[in-house]
Amino acid sequence: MTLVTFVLTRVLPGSPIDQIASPMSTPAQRHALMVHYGLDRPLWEQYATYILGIGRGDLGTSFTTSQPVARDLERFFPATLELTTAAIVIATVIGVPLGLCGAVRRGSWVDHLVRIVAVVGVALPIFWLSLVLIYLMFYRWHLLPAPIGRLSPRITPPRVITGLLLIDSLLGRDGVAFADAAGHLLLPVTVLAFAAVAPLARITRTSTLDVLSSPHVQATRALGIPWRSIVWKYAFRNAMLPVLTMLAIVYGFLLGGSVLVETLFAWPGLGRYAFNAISGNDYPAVQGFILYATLIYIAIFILVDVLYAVLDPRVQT
Amino acid sequence: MLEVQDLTVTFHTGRGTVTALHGVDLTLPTGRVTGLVGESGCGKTVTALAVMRLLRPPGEIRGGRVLLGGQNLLALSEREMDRVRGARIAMIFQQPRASLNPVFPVAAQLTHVLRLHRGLSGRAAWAEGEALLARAQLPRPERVMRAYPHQLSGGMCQRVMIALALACRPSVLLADEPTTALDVTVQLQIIELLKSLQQELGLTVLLITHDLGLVAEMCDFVSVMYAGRIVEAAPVSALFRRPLHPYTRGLMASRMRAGSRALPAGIPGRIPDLHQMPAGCPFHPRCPLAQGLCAERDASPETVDGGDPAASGAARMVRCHFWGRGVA
Ligand SMILES: Nc1ncnc2c1ncn2[C@@H]1O[C@H](COP(=O)(O)OP(=O)(O)OP(=O)(O)O)[C@@H](O)[C@H]1O
Ligand SMILES: [Mg+2]
Repeated sequence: MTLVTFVLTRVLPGSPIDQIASPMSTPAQRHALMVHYGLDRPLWEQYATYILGIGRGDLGTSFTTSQPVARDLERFFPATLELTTAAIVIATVIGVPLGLCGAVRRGSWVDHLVRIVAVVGVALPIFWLSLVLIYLMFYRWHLLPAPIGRLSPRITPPRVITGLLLIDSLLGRDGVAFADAAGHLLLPVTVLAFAAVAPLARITRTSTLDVLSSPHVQATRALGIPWRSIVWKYAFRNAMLPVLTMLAIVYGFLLGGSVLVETLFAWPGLGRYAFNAISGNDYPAVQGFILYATLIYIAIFILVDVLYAVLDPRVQT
Repeated sequence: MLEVQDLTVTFHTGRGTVTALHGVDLTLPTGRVTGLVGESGCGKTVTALAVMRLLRPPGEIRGGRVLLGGQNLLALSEREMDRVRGARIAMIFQQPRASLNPVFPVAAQLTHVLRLHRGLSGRAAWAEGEALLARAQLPRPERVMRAYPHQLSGGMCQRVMIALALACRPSVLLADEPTTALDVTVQLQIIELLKSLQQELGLTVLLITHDLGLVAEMCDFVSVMYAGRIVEAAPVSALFRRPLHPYTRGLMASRMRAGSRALPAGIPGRIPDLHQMPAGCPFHPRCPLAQGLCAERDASPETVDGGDPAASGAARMVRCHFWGRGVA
């Protein structure tokens, strides 16, 4: 994995030296910089150095921020975590009940709504939706603070405990900071959640319909257990298993989507960091980001596996 | 006594509406075992599901009555029906493992129905659940209570289903091919269990099966179904001695040769597609006795005197224009 990323970043056109060196610098000066950063060495040697560094927790130094990449990632991670987690929570809270209602009242207006949401959610580009929302909510109606960053400049940030502003401001009993942070979160979270609601509602609807027409639901009905109990006590649990897997997939998708959303909303998170790194040919930063994203992915899938084992006795732990 | 009268069921499919049951009549005398036989796809399962009111769209009951103790089940509300299902009529299915919820232990549903229909409290329900499992001859019921379906064998799953079905002392049991999916040795054990429970509890049983040997062994009466119609009904002894309908005779002949699930070798052709039902009697394209009339008009049910002292003169029914011609 690291090898693929490594090779890819080197093969793509452009050099980080273009960013660091001034346009006026002589070829000799440029060469000195190359030597300084080790970019004159053979690729395999650069790779070996990099891998050895990872072993020590050293992901190299970013060309753009001049900071150790590991520290950058750590610094930007909470912003992304807060954004994507809020989005997935909201998408779940809306999407899963929608899908359930659609399945239970198949053919009703809720069901049609679910299907419309599923189509619209996929069709509306995040980019377009963001601009429309920013225009309406901030520019036109002044309902929300300027869509820049996580807090307004005049607000004192709460003391960092978790790095998640909503939680830190609550812990510090700082209502003003909380409200401002929530106001900043609202739009980017809405945009991301909007994209995530569709797949969640759809998988919930499909898996619930599947379960409700399964032989064991029929057998349970044959025992005289009322339909409501069957749906909420028994079938719900069966239906949630595929939803759990979908949640992990959607979360990964949100991490990807955060690159665009964070750039649009000047959100100081990993996504924007990655975007800047890629456009600046900042090899160590790009590699570090991909490594980090992979680790987050793996962590999420492990979490889902654990939940799965709790919900499904067939999974051996 | 459970009586099914003129039961008609349709399915709305992409290719139009098909009629799966055409005015089915069925009588299950109290405390007796009635067999329902017929080729795959003739409507046996649909009949049982319709009696339980378990059909879901695209299936729809279009007419008829299901009388249990004089009460028409088809006229009940869904809530009233929930008090009939499990408590007065129960059903067991062909795929025992698939009929149990994979993510709940056996105890979950067992204690649930006991609380629901018999008003037992938590602890009493648990004790009664274990007793029921023991009665279904499951070894170590206290462990089976906590087991999940995937930890049980197919035969054990069917025993659990039987325990569940009989938990609330229903008077009628509909058994839809309860042994088809099981190994031969296990089949025999389950049949023995059903037989002993039937006698012990005086259950009224509808036994759906392909296996005429099983019918001969277990049933008192039998109805033969073809393409959604009952074509012959008789006491078992009378039917085996002298099958009247040409379809029944074909089934009997094929039993000698083929296994229980194979197409009846004694009958040429196959069961018609519900979308392309032949006019007249649905069996006429395959029937050795067919004449012009058969393609024009379906026969109506005809009551025949058993003519058989062994069957104590019990009446039997046959639905064929020319049944008399082929009978020896
Ligand atoms: N959900 C459905 N949609 C459309 N048609 C159906 C549906 N369920 C059953 N049918 C039709 O009803 C007919 C009777 O089916 P049924 O399952 O009762 O047969 P069966 O006698 O139980 O067969 P088997 O011995 O294979 O269990 C079939 O021909 C089938 O085409
Ligand atoms: Mg069947």
